[in-house]
Amino acid sequence: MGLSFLTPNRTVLLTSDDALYVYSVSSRGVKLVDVVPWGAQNFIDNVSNILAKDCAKRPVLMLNDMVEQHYRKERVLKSGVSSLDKQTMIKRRLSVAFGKYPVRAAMLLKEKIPKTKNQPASDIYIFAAIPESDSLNKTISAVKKSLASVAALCLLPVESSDMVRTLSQKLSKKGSKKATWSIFIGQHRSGNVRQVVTKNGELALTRMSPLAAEPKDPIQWAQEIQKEFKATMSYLSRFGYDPSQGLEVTIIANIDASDALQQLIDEKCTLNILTATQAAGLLGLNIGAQENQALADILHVAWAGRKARFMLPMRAGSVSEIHTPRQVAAAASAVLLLSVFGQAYFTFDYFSKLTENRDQIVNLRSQKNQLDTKYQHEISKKEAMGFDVQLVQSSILVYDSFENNSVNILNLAKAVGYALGPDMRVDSIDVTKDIKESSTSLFRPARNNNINNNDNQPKVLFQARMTMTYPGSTNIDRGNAEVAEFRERLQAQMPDYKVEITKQLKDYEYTEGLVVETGDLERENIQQDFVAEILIEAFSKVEGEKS
Amino acid sequence: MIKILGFKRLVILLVLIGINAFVGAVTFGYLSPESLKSERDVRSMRSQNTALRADIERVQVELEQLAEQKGLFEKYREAGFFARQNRRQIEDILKSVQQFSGVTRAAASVNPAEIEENEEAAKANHNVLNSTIEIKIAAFSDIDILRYIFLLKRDFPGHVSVDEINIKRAGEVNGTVLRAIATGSGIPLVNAELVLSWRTMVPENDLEQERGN
Repeated sequence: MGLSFLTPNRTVLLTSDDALYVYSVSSRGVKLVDVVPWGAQNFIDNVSNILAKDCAKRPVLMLNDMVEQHYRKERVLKSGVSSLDKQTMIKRRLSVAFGKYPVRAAMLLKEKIPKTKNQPASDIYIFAAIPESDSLNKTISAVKKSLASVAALCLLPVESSDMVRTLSQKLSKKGSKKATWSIFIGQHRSGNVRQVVTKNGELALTRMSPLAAEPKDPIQWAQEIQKEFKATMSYLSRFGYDPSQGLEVTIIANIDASDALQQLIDEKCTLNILTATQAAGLLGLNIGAQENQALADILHVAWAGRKARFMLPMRAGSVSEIHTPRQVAAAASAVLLLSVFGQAYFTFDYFSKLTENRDQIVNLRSQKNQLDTKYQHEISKKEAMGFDVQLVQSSILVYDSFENNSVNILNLAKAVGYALGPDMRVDSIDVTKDIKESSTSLFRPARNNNINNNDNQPKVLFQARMTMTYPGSTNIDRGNAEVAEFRERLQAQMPDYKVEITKQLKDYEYTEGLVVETGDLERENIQQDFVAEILIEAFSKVEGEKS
Repeated sequence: MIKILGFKRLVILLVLIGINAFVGAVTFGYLSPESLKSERDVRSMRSQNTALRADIERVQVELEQLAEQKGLFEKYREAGFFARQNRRQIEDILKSVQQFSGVTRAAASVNPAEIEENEEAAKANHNVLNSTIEIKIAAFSDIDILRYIFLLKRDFPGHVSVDEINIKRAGEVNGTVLRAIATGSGIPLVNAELVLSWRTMVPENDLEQERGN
């Protein structure tokens, strides 16, 4: 069984042959609420009142404990049938097997028939059915009237088979071989003895037999029990029982009947004689104080009543008629309740966020007001200075931009003057901001264009072209060296400028133009002056730094 | 249905549906949009306050800088940077510059002023007036020409920038030249051609009024 606080609280209607036993099963224990004989007047009204008032409309489990229960073991082929078709096939076979009984169901057993040469592999099902009796109809009508929901309609021996298995497991000694067969014998309040026989923990046989003796006479009671046990054993041999497989017998009895039973049961088996309270203790069930410790029906009720999942819920139209809508309503209520909690969480979350944000807005507004006041204060301080701040700032920026983009000719002249020294002189200096492609060299314009076109490169602010004339009689090599030295000195004076020789006195490099004068000119020994040219380029960022 | 489910169960279902609908409407119809709106408001107000703080810091920095800037501004004002370009005034200045620089002769032609687009000036509701000045100078020495440029930049109202300059040696020092120097007559040995930009900032209103007239 599961944890007691998680298992459901239910009303169990134990339908016996003589009367309807109404039990209330909850975490606090099992309580017999009332016993209503089938022949009682206003049966339906009385039972519905009990269910509605005494049992607080808790879900009802109808546990059938009548003599007339029908069981059949059926083989169903495993292979060649899809799971969907299998269900249909089982339904059909169930209706064929129990055509006269509308309340029926099938349960798959763990036991299988393996594939052999002569037969295919098969599953084994227990087909169970009960007749649509007057007592069943009365019970369903009472439940319907009470407006309590229906948990299920089940058969007591089937739902108790796992109780027998559990009890057997608890009682078996550690290390000892587990018995294949288990028999649970217990007398019910109706006086009948219910025997549940399991094989490998699954229902194999059940018997319900009336008992003439009263538990008050332990010897006679034990003899009656022994007689019924013997009868069961005779049936069991037909079910393939072999003593070597092991047999465990559990009898619910009063303590004073224990010795008699021990003496009377001579079958080779493990015999356990327990009181109802002892059995409940082993099963973890709370059945409260019991006057008659020989009664076992309360164990069945307590076990089945707190089950989360039933082994064999019976299908019946009359049960489904009330069961399905009430189950749907209960599920819908649960979903709606969960939805309310879920939405309540969102409501709380959004509400707390909203409150937090509103608090923040209040704080931010207050901050903004303070900042506005401070800003206005600063602005008024600015205005109090008595002049147009924008004009002051803009005019300075405008003036600086003009200054940065103008040619500082005086600085340039000063640097050239230092570099020239006392012996050299220039013939012309041509400064221009309107930069055009140079025609002095085939290779230079491309580089200049790159500088101007690329925004990341500094732009040429201006170019200064200087020419120096040397007489034709000048030693060319010395003259070129002098120009080169002048360039070096100039570059040293203006480290941020680009200084290069664009024309030497005479050069035989393939990049230079060449004028060859022959004939009269040569004979007349007329010598042309040499002209050297130096180009200085200033870049915008350099210009920005110069002043 | 009531017979099967019962009145109480139906009422419970209806009440639960009602509570769900009400809580849903409150949560998703009011609280959720309001919460989102308030989050937006918080973000917006935070950015407003950040911008305001930045503005305050900027103004404070400006105030610190303004004292220094004010001096510079006054200097530019005194130098005539905000004056309209008075042609008569510069005639006198050009004469004076020629006289003090020592250049032999200087022929200046001042082109009509043009309005130059300047984004920064527009912020202060001012326009930039630009007049191109072309000057041809003849001097004994390049030093005189450089002095001429220096004086021009110093004495001209507003800002004067050199756009182009071409200085060429026009003659050699020989006996004739030395004799002329000895007699006190100025013989130019260097010629120069200058292209200058003369810029001032004038209020937009002044120019509009002038155009209107």
